[in-house]
Amino acid sequence: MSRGLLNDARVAKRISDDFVPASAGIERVQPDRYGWDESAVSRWFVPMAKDAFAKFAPKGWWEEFKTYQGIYVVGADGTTYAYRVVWELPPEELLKTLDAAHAEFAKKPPAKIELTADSVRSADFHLLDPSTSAVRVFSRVRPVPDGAPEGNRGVGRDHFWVFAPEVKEILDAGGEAGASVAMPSRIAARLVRFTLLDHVRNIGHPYDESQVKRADFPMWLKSRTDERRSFAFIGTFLSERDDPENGEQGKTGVEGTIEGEFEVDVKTAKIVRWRAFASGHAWGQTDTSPPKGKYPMVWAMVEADDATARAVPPVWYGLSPVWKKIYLRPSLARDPK
Amino acid sequence: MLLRRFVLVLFTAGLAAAGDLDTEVASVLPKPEEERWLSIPWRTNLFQARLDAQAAGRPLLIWVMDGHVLGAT
Repeated sequence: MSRGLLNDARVAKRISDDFVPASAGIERVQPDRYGWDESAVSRWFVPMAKDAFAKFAPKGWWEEFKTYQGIYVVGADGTTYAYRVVWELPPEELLKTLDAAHAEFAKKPPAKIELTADSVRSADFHLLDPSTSAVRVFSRVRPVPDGAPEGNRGVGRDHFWVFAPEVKEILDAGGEAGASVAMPSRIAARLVRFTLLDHVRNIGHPYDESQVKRADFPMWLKSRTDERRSFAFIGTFLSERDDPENGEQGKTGVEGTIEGEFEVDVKTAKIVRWRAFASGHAWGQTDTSPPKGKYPMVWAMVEADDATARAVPPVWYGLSPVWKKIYLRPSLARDPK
Repeated sequence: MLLRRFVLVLFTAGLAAAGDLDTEVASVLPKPEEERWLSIPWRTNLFQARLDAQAAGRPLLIWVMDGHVLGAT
């Protein structure tokens, strides 16, 4: 995974010192990949990427994968100086590429550009609405089974969003400390269908409503003041799919238990603290290198309110307009307990 | 329903202390050596990054993958 490459201290320093680093999801800069509309950014990026591929991509790469994923070195005007596929790239190779690209940039500097404030604003695709609460989600295979491919030692990441009407629904339940409070079904559905997945090696695929077999999250009020209310929850979850077209690899699933607590600012209906820990098992998965059979997983969730949390959406919210719609209003079968 | 209530009461009484939950959460969080890539000052707005690159007299380095790279696997 390219993140391992960028964890190399020499690579991180070189990029930080001598380049202006920027990152994006391919889905918004190559919008036909997942069904987003074109934008000012994609109209700039795609011709630049085509030029970079013509000059630097491995022969046949585009024809085989039809994706512009990778690392580019370009001028502000779109002049291309380097492109590398990064999935299996050693740090030394990337450093050589960066050296050569920087030298080329010095020889052929880009033309001056001007961008309007509106066009710059249009390049923020998914800014978090101030009323929405963001939680960061981490997942691991733990312990990693003997013989499992190295990619299983990584950390999976995602964001989890909770929307203001859902928090207000919780607050409206009222009650005193210890009172049972129903977890809004959309929060439960978002947890089990989109969040408690195996994102360790690659993006885990979400589950349809019919594939959720259990999603039971009893919740209660822990404490209340005029300003803050805190809640705790526990629960069990199980999702599985059997996609016969993909044979044995089509049989995937995840199951586990979760416990957590969160605190809400009553005035803003924002979650100001969220801690949750889940453990369980996953199996199958759609990528090529999961451990064999059922393997152990853990997840942690922590509130987030930094620049990245405000600019980067949950993966399935951001990946396609179809999944965004489902992420906003996910449902569960009538009683998946 | 009664059984669920009973389970809830049991868990309410026996839920791990907050310190335990924090410890469990911390055990999953990335270690510093797993987050070196986050020390790189990534811009998330590509057009602002173009202006910043011009102002700094540096080339842009653009990293794109399926799912936003700063938030997805």
